[in-house]
Amino acid sequence: MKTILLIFLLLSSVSLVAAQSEGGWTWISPYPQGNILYASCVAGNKVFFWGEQSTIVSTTDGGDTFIMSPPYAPSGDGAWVGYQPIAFADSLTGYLTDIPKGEFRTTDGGVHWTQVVSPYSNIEIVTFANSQIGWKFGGGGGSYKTTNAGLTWSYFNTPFQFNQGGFFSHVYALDQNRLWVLKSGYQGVTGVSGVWHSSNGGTDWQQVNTGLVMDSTVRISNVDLKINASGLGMAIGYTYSDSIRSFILRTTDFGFSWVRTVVPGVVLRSLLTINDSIWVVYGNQSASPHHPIQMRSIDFGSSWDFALDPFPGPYYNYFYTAEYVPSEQVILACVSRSIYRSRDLGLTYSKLTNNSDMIVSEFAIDPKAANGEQLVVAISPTYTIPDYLLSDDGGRTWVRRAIPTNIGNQIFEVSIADGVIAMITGNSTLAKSTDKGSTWTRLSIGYSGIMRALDVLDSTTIVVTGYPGSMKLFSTSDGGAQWISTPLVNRSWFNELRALPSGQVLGCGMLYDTTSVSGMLFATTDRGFNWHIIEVSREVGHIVMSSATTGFAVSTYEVYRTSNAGENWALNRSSSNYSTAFSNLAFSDSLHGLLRESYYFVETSNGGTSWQNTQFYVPSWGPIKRMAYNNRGELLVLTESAGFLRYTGGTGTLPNPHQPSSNTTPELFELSQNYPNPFNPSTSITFDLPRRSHAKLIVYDLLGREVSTPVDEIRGPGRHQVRFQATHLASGVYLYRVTADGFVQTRKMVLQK
Amino acid sequence: MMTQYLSTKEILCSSLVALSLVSGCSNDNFVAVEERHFGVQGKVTDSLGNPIEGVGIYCLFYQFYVPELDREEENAFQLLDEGTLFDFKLYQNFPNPFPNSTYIRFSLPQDCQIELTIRSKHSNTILYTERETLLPGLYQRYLEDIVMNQQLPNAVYRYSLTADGRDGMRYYDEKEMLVISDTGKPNSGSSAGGLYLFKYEDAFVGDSVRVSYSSDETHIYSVALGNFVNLLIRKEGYQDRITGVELYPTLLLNRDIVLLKGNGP
Repeated sequence: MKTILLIFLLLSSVSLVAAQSEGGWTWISPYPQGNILYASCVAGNKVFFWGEQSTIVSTTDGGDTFIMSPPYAPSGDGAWVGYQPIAFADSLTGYLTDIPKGEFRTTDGGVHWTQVVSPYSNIEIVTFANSQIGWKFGGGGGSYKTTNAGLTWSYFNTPFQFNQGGFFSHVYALDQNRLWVLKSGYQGVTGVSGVWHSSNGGTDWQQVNTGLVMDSTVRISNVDLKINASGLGMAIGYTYSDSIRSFILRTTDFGFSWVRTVVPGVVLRSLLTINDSIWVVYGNQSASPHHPIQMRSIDFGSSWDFALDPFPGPYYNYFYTAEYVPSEQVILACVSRSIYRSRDLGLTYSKLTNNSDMIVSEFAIDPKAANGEQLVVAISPTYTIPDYLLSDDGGRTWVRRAIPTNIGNQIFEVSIADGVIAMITGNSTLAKSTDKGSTWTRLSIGYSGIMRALDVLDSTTIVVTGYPGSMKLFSTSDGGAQWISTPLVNRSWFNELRALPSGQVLGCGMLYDTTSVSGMLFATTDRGFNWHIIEVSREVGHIVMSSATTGFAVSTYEVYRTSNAGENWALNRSSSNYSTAFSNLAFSDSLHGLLRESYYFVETSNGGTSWQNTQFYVPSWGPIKRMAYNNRGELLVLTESAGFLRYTGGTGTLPNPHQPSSNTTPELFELSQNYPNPFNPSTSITFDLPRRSHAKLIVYDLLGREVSTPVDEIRGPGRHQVRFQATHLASGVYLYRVTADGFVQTRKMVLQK
Repeated sequence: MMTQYLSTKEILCSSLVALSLVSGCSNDNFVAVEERHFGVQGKVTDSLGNPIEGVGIYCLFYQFYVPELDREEENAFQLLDEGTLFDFKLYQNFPNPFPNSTYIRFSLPQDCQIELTIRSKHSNTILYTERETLLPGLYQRYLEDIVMNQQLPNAVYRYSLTADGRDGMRYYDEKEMLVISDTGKPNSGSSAGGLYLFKYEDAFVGDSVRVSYSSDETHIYSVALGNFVNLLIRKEGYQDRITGVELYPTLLLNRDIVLLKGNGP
């Protein structure tokens, strides 16, 4: 009980960090992102975190701001929780192994990753000793070395134990000659566990005698190891026989001899050293609730300060990974779905977040609000707290609020129109507020079932469905005093409802019975007395209207379009595999819209008659749960992984399709001279577009060979600046040419290395 | 609904007793009549014996709206039988029986010219028709106030769907629905002198009705209607009277009714 009390007392320790714009995106919540980060590495002042759903998050300023890269692979292909899947040779060049997704390489600091090896190469760990030399290992994948920062790898022979079952849990390179490899056994005591050392870059290997040998009764997991240039080092891991006991090994002679300290009741995961004077070990309690633990020593492990859950936050915290950033003198630790920072070398930690620190499960925006006074409400998942975020400026600034206890204790759905906020605040509780959430009224529908799929059309019209028992559509046209209910199909599930000004109510979802599921599109003209359901092959998640009568319905592999308020729907776009699956769309006016396909958007400028590819993406993960434009033309996006973001436009990527990227639209096409020039290794190229056009920026060498195509996409009117990276090019003169809508212009630039 | 109940023991019998067919209704009197002249007849008077003209006589179930006889549950609504497209199907209306408005659902697998009709079961007269061209899908139609608008007396009706598909295929199905109202058009009434005749054929004896209370289509009860019916005798200014009567083909029962002053049930 004392422990729990302590945890709650520490709840207030939160560091507010600036919500960082990344490629025009501002993260609303959570910040930074919300995925579990399993592994990490440091390259100079940069720290990279790797996590579920192909997440790469990095920071260059010790956690003041974060860069959230787009996912390197589509989500949904499973994940491999590796101990050391990511490594950087320098701050730009990195390598990543994710067994179900393949191996990837980046040369731009982890923003973009190229798949270089197919999935299931079974490489488990990777590291670099310097900017060129690195190694990668896998129990089923073999051992490889690179001398060109991961561009090419050569297989090399290793001890037979490397292929004798078990898995690689860690590799540590002190320099390009001296490295240590850690293997662990599997559950049930199988495989080979141990530590091996090479002093000549991997050519010859000796098994290190740690004093721990796996046999038929004891399983050994070697987890982490660090040894410095003077031979001082530690290794951590745990043994499992009848119970879990962790161990900390200390060496003063490069690992030839070890002193072992046994730590019962915990599972250790990470080992840090701060200038070899402070050593910090992290892990979790082996028994439920698996609280994080920290052990810190300032006397090279002669004595340890033990801390139970030093990370203030929710009760069910779990530690995954941590790094020390020497240039910033901070420790960054990934715990549960958050990042914590210690500025006092591991004595205290505070959670890094922004002021709208809340997981978001759904949001709604007032579609007709006057400019500058637009209400947006985002709600938290029902399993957490009855809190919501409210903005009255279209999503720029937010306040966090809770619904009163007499209104409900959880929030299922939200919808807004004409300043009326309606929420489902309990199984059968509907509440509304007309004063931006200051006061709430419970609306009496006289229904005891479970409500879902809510839509507010205007200040008087609200529709909602209810289930189970008799599935019904409830509607009011006097703000909620009087309700009518009409019968729906019982074996139907409504994901969304749209009440249209012309009186129609559209719905989408699925029809199900014990053996099959199909999708449905629902339309009624009289609040559900008479209706029509179209059956489609897959569950339909969303209906988005682009005008009073034109709308789109989205399933994973189909987009349907209606031009007569749901009377009939025609297939507008289809896909056949998960990597080009649809998730959602939004229209900024009746003509211009964006549709999320895979993780890039496709765009339309003719009301969805045709769609063009773009390179525009959301730096968050999973399908898009909801997206909507505010009245400033900024796009709000909520992803399944609970990333809630706002796109404010910016250089490099496509802004919202119909808004000029700056206030002054250029009158002429123009390609400006690059700056700096000569340059090494990067320069910026600027061109102006007077109208929307397909712009192509190609860099040629003097022989006319195309060496790079930094831009090949549709861009809106305005000034566009492109950063050109030439790390892979030789010194010399290069030509760059912009073509757009019949306009062609070429200029010269000089790369001087 | 509160109703005064007249047991068979209380019923005034005329002296025309000729034959007792069934034990338990020995107090009822009957005459052998020509075929089609059967049912129940008599005189409606007030408590002083004055005849009452223009009463409404409604045929009801054994226990007003809720049938209790031979109930057998059916699982009648198979929304997604097989395949991925909706088949031609006409579903049981709900609620059934209904006093005024009801819902009818049907599904079409292709573009169709449809005709939805309602006919009297016994006379086959078409009472209501709706023709439309429709797209594929599942449809719900609300027949709002159809009993009042079409002046349908309490009876069994057949509703049918004819769907002519674009491919030339014709689909036809029909189902039965039952109107039981105590405010609509009465089945019978009293003439000058208070005399009434309620015909056996208005009593839907022998019909089997599928009872469906709500849109919970998974529970439909099949109810076989026996020969015991309740007649509601109603007139403005008098209390409602319900009398239970067992009807037999070819027999005309005599039963006089006394209405008390008052209003409603």
